[in-house]
Amino acid sequence: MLRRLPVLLLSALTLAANSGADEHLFAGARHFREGRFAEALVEFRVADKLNAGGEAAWYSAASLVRLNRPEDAIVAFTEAERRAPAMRDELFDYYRAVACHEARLYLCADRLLAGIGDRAGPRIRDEALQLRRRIEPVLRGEPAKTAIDWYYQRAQQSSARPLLAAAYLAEGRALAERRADRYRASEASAR
Amino acid sequence: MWNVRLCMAMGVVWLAAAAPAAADGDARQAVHDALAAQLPSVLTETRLPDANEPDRGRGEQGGHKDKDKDRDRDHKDRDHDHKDSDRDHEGRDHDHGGRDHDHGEVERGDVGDHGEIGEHGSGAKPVEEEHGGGGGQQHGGGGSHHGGDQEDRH
Repeated sequence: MLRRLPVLLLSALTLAANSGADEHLFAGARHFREGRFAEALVEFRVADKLNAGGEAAWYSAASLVRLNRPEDAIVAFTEAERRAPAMRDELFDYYRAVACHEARLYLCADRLLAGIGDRAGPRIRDEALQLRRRIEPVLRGEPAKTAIDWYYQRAQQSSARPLLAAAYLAEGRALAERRADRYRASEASAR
Repeated sequence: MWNVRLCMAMGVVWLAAAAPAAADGDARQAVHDALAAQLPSVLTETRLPDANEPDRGRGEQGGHKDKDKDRDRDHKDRDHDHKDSDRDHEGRDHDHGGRDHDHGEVERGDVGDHGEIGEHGSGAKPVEEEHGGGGGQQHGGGGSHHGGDQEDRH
């Protein structure tokens, strides 16, 4: 029994820590529901520090979307998926797709929205469909060279934030692949 | 030996009882419900960008001075709210005891400069147009994006 003491104590302490994180999750939920997204973000980040499970990282990312910080949200979602991939669901995919849209990463947004099916519930599914319809004309036909240039520029400007830079680079490359001349596509692969 | 076992059992029971009645699943569900109730909408025009746009080459760090001026000019009213917000959070720091630092770290970036959607550049026009080419596309977020930069500096 004595040998099990450290394990029991550790379990109990973990339980206590999780309960502390829960407090902040509840507080964050309340703020979020009432439209106080900055306060919600604070709560979710504290919860994230108290519980290393990574679930609160998804909530923080969603808060960033509502705070109209799409680039920060894109980075946060990428980190959240790395830390807690099992937490990903259609709700987060919708939030993430909006972040991608606002950062003008339309292929990214479209890819996420395409994966949102009936399991998401009618409201999210309908919103996803509407957003896809809005994006569809933009992705029709060959993208202009100057559009591709813009994504490469943004990637370069975001070099201090590698995850964000990678997102812009991937978008630029995917758009380049849509052109018959594959304008600058090989350049992106070489980076 | 019995005393040791009894103490251990009581200790575990006490620590478990100290946890709130709500389980992890309840907290998750509460957040999910809140997120579902506040689904975001797109705020910007949907069109492929162009490297020849007037705001090209404006990086995230660029144009902050202009943006700050705009914000000071246009959103003085919000200063009062920010102060209230800061006070609230200072108050809450006491509750968190040893976690003060965590709170401060987050708040400096997130609370002071934020603007909720609808306060800045959330109209039908693309936000970069509203700011007169005042920076990259995220500038529609106004203070909120600036908040992110502050975080980066910390």
